[in-house]
Amino acid sequence: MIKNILLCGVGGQGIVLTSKLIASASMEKGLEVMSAETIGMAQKGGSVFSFLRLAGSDERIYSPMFAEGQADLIIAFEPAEAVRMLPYLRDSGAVIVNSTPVMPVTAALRASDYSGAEMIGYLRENVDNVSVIDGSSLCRSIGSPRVLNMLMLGAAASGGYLPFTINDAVAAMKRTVKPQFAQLNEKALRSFE
Amino acid sequence: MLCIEELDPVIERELTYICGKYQLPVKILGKLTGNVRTAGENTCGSVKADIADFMGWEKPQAEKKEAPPELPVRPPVLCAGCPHRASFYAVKTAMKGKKAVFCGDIGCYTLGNAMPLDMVDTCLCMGAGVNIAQGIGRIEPDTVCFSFVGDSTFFASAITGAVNAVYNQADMTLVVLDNSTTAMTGHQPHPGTGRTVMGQIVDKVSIEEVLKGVGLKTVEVCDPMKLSEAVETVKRVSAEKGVKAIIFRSPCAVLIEPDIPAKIDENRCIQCRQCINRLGCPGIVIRDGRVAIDGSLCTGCGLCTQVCPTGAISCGKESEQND
Repeated sequence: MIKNILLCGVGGQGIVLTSKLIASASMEKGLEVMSAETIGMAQKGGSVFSFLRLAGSDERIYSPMFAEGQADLIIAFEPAEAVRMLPYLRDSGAVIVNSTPVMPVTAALRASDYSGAEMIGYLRENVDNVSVIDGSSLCRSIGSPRVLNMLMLGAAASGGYLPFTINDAVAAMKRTVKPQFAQLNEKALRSFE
Repeated sequence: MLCIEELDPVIERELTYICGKYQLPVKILGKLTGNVRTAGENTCGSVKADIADFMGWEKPQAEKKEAPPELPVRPPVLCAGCPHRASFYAVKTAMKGKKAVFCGDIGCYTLGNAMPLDMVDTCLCMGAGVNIAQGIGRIEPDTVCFSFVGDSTFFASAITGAVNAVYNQADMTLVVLDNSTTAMTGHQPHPGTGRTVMGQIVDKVSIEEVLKGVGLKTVEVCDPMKLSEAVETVKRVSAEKGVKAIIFRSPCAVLIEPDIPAKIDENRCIQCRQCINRLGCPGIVIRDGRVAIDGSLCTGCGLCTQVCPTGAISCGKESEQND
């Protein structure tokens, strides 16, 4: 069966790398993978999303994109971005969301009180299967603000939402990131074991 | 026939041409005829709707869900620690109260148009800024004309404009924002980086030597992260007659290892929010109603420490001591 995954968040959170790791670990399992993502301008604090489609050997994928209502899983790095992309979720789909908001410069300039809590509330009301990850306090306990992407991937793999195990995710990470960050990343990936 | 294509309607236009040339009785529909939206990317949903419309099928109805809370808008902005923010802010500060125009160009620094910097008055195409600035100088001689161009765009298409400005006796200041890379498109090398696309290490082409070579008498190199120095340089150089250049040289924040994030001394911060309202750096946020540093974004560049009126923000070793 083809699995449709949507990753979303804010430029700079490590979404594209996470997408690559999911693709890499899935390909190691013999799955066919197609992906497409926003690039360029969106890197600079804009909304970023990445489409991923995984298929077994008995299926072919003809396009990396999918329509609204077709995502089996949304991994959202930011609460408002989860809500923005929610129309893509299928009825029985799952959402894994980081509760820590990223305040846009425009909101800071207008002294807006956007806290993300209203977004999490909306998700809980409208989606049956929501896992909320407290990204900022987990990052603090691991000791780096830059491991959020590994936490999100760890939560998805540990929750059984991906066609591979945490060990596969760790192996994919070690193939991809600089060796000096491997230990820290592994700690983050294994946070939900 | 319905043409659905990304970007310009190239196939549609060619088909329309062929149909006209050979007088074929075929109607070509697409972006030119308003049957496909002209801007924005095609999505599965938009393609489905376009085809349904064309075929006369019933349109797929979107399911109505509870309306979500108001979502924050996220326009792209200059990164935390971006040296362009410092350069723009220096020019803005130096030109306060003066009639000035800021001609932009294509690159990350086009994002200098966003509030609160608001420092890109024109943006047409690569290399246009330096030419528009000299043009405005002809029409409005009482305006101080600036042109901003990145190092990569300078080599690609601003040198001819600089030659034209010098030769035709324009009065303008060319500001080269040299972050030593082609940042917007993914850090490709250019003639100023000393590395070819094949990875060869070669002699750099010097921006200042090129500018002096085409006849500029004043070419100053300045570190924009030293704010007061940068402001003085802008005031001094822009006051000269003729074509002159300032090269703001500081590496792209993405290319260098971030420093320790800045710290805000809660006892000294008066919540005036000048750091936010002047710089618009994504690394400075409001948390529980108070100005705070987002440690995951802040690179410790130190620009905000030079803007804070009470010296409440510190960077580097100083901020470690506060811990």
